[in-house]
Amino acid sequence: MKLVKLIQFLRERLKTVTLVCIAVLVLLAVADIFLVNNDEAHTAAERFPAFWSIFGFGGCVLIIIFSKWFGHLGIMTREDYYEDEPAAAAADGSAAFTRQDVESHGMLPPKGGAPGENHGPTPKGGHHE
Amino acid sequence: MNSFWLHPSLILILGALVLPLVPARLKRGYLLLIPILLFARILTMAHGEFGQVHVLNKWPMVFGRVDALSSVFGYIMSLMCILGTLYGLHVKEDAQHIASWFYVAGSVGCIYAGDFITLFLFWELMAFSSVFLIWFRRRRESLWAGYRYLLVHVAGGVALLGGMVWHCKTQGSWAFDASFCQLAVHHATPATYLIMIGFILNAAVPPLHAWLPDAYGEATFNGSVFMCAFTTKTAVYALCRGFAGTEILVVLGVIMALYGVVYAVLENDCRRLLAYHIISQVGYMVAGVGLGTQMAINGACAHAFAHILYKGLLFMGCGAVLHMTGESKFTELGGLWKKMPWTFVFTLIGGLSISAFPLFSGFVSKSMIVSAGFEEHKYWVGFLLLLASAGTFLHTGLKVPYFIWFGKNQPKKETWDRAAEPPWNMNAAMIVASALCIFIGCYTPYLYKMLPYPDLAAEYHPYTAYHIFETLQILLFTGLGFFLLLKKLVPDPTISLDMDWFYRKGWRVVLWFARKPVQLVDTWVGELYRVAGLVPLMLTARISGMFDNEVIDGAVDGLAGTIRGIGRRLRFVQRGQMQQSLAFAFAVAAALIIAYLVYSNVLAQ
Repeated sequence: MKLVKLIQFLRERLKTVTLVCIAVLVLLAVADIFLVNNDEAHTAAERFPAFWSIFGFGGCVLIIIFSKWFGHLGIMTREDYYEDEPAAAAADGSAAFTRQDVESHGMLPPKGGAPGENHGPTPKGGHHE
Repeated sequence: MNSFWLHPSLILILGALVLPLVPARLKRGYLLLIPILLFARILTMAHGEFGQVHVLNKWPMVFGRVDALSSVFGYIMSLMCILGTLYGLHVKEDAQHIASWFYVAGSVGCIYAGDFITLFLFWELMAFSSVFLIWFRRRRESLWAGYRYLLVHVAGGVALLGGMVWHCKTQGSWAFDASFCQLAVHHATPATYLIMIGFILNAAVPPLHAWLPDAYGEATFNGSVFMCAFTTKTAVYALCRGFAGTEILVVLGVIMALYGVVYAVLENDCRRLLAYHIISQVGYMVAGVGLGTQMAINGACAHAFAHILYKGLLFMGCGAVLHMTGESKFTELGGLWKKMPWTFVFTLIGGLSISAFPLFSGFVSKSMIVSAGFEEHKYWVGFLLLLASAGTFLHTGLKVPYFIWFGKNQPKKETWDRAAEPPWNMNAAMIVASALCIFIGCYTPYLYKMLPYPDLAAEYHPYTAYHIFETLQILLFTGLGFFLLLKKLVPDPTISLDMDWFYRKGWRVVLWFARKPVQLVDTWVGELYRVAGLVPLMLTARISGMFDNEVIDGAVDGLAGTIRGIGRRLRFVQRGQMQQSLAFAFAVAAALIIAYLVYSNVLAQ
């Protein structure tokens, strides 16, 4: 596949690619300082040389650092954090309703009628006939 | 009711109902035909008010209010319906297509609704049909995510309904038009605020947004492609119609734009990351609606239009990865460029479009809102939205492609073995979406002519040297920051707590309440019931039992004997052939109807 070959070609010359990218960045900033007419600027700050380059880089760094700091305040947590939702909670006796619970209150006909049939752990305080 | 006007949603609803009857070999053609018919219908609709009905001579319903604002949204929704259906064309299960078509029908119905009752009906149709797109993934998590999605939307629907009824009872008008907007913006009442809460919940404005990443990350691979387009953008439409110029929306929009960006840094699941970027992008539109100038409304509509295409494309790319590899987490993916290079290119085009790169669709739409902010001298709006766009490129343009298709992470062997380019129809949908993203970016009149204020849009030129340089500098220097801080951005296998914590963990408080105080009361009431209710009840029961034994049983036994006798004779009529029985039933029914007609005619004479 040609596309794979192209990506392979670029990956093998990563150093050159990086240098080209840096050259583009430098050219962009230089062009902004010397070539671009600032008349369309909305605020005085934008007239600062290469203002938007600084804005882009600073913004990116700010976003990453702030977000990571925010995430480590306790926002980022283990993947199974919510996973004890119904099942595990039923085991510790705090489930809302299990099928047995519902049956015992006569809301549903017993499934097959077999008393030994296990539909899930029985909550401790579930029965109060 | 005026002369017949074919509602575009009707095409989808009838099409969906007929779908199961279509033979398998015609199915693919049929699946494409219906959305194309919808698109054609929307293209041919003249402006005006159609489909007016008076329900019970009391409530006026307007099913078809076609104007510039509804046309642009109707156009893009129906276009996205074609792309979404094409993307999921190989899905065998009819029910999935039916759910998505009902969902689109709901969205299109909302867009053309001219009054609150119609709007509400279609609004709820959207919620109740889209939930199936989550459930059809059939994971245990999807079931719960679906229920949460539904509950949140029902809550939003109740707020909307409450506000509507309150508003209409006090103002005496069910119309959802410019006069409502005037009232809502300049003389807001609690009723209009309730309606706004209903709308901004669907637009995923924090703190009412957590349903979005929760649901979109959990839906089927093609379900998310539909979901990312319709719910939030229909809400943006409703906000444009009813709340253009509401100051608070500017603040909320800017918060949204940044909120989504912050959470996207932390996210490990690519589709949840994209979902957070929906929040961020819809933030631009909400801010545009809040600014309320003609330029800003143009911008909000243009951005919604462009957003539906590029976000659909991004969800298609990540959906293709999920569909082919079974994985959507960055920590389980990496280096896929060898296996899915074209999916990478399409996703990158989506990423460049959302980041507003010159020549891509976001560039010509997002900048309208930012310019409107600067023009209104709300500099903080302009700067903060530009900051958010740096964040957008950081994640969607760089993080998503980098960590799925490159990166140092090596996926598991089975993930790697399964990875391959997706089926032709998924590729075709991505090609068309990519082409449209580039076309919109390169040829601005296509989009600008459709906007609500086309004359103003024609005067707007995004391709000025200053704007191009401004954008390129922001984006490319963001790229520099990305590669310098790459180590910090390597995803962790974690999830991030969001506002859904309150209803996912908050239920424990409710349960505690149910177990302790409520149960105490329950026991007490039970005891009271036993003493005051049960004892007299038993006495009555004993008396009625005697009555039952002696009188009723005699009668019932006699009746049962008679019925058994009839049954024994009828048994010979019933021969177990379903069709014959049905034919017999219809024949009897027909005979009865004819007899009735003849009898009534005789009486009439």
